[in-house]
Amino acid sequence: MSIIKIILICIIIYSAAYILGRGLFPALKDKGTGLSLAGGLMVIFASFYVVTLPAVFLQDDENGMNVVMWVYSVLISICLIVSIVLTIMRIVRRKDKIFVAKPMLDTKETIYLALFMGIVLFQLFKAAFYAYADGDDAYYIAVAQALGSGQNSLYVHDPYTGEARGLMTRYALAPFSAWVAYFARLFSVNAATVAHIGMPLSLIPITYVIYNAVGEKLFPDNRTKKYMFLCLIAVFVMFSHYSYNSAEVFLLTRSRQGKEALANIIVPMLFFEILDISGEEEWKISNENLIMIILTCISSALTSVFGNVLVLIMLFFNFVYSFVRKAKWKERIKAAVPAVVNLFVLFLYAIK
Amino acid sequence: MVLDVLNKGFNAVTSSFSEFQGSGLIFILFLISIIFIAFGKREKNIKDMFVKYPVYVLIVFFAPIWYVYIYYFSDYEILYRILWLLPIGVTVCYVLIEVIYKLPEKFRTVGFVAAILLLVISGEYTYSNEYFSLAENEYHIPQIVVDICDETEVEGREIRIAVPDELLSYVRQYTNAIWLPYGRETLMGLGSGDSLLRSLLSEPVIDTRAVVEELRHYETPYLIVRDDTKFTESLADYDYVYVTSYDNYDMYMDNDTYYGIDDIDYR
Repeated sequence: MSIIKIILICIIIYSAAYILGRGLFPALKDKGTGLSLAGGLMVIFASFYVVTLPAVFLQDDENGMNVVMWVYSVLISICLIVSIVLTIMRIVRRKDKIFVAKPMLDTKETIYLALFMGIVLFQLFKAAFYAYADGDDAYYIAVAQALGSGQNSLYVHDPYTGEARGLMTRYALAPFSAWVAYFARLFSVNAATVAHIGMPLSLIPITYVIYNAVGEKLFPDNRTKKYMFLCLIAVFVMFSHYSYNSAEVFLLTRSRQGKEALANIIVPMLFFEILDISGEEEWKISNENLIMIILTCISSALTSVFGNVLVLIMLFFNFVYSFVRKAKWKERIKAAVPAVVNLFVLFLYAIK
Repeated sequence: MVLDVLNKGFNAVTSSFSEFQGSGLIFILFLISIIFIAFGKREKNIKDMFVKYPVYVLIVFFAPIWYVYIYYFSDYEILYRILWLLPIGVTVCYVLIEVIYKLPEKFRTVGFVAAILLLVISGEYTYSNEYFSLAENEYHIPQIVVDICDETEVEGREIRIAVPDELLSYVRQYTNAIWLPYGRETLMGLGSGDSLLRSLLSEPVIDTRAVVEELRHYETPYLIVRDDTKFTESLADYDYVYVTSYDNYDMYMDNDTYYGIDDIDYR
């Protein structure tokens, strides 16, 4: 029964992410096949952070997580309804199509795509059926377990012992485990199952969706090259244990931890956004790009406090790069604006 | 003082970099790829994102500002995460594809296979990691932990249990109803993680009286130990009775504790 619920959780994450990405960011689907999924996931992450952060600091021991469950569910439902309405309106006005027909794959493309899919399926199989013992799970999954099984106070109980010990700011400011707990509580599934099976099955493919979008940017007119590139990336990921700390090792071993989402979803997504902006003749940030970058910045805060620092490093590059590309001042300001989010979170960390 | 900051910081940053690059083969490939793009590509934005951007990240990583942070906070274990910003995989694979497409068409498949072999040789297979094992259940937690927790769990209240180090990290991943007298911080020797109980349980021959006192001090009615554990006296002398065994572990329970239920399963 748990496994059926886990499959349901994966379907819900994919569906919600796709609907949100397609509805709120219509240009994403033209930038990369399936990129709507990644864009939608940023909405899912960011809205959870916006809901959870006040709940963490309000410290309502009676209702904390309950309030998060309700408010987040309502917020996501509203976003989904708006997305569906916007998509339908665009289709009715013939500005969008339900399915966009693409040229058939030739034999080479089919072979490389099949090879790539095979490697990814193998990775998902390993994630679902093989356990990876990681010490940090003792903290992150224990938090998810506590919140998922009815505890309402957020980040005040020691996850190792169970005792109350005051707000643990560093973790409370990056409540990714609470997001895992949300699904555990919503579907009455053990948080360990959601974390160890549900999360990798939901998040690993989204990393490849972003790589696919990067591939489309690098090889815009050659699908064979793109599929070959994806095959090589998938092999690279699988043989990335050159270091215990490589981002790709985190992808295959620790997809239940916020750090993994930071390394393999947030950072590649922001990299893609900067690459996308840099590809234009005139360097400028469209409103859709700006909103997506802001959402990615908020999402980074959900995954890890240090994620704020990483994102700021990337944003600073983008800002300086806007000078190199002789962008207008308005665009430079747009490049700097998203940093406010992460600076605010780091400010909270410093004063708490 | 300044020299001390520089010395400590530089050592920490370089050792962090060295740990991250592993054997260094992937980094050599990455470096070659950057040079290839710098001199072999014309697209400005590709050059900027795959040459200037990685150089910028490396400058940030080695920037002396971290030295001060390391000196004052002694926390450099997370510095490697800055290197996550390097697009290593994308850069290397992009250049490999470009090189493959410089070959005549009939050799491209061979080139592709060679590229895969190069990645395989340069890296290390993640699934060969010793920490991977076939999952024993849907929780991806050792079954013995699940069995112990199911045995000790009492509906409607928390029960504290003491377990051997190798099981400690898993208990609260499985259930929030079981509490522990000390956590992983103790195993790692961090901050407030000192525990007399853990020190006593780590002795080759455990002082029964002292352990029982500590267990009762922490209101810990269950004790799980390896079956070859030696005690100075029998636990039964202190009213800790044997309940059952799981594989190589024995479970004892404090007869003096009120559990809130009357049907504890003595075996």
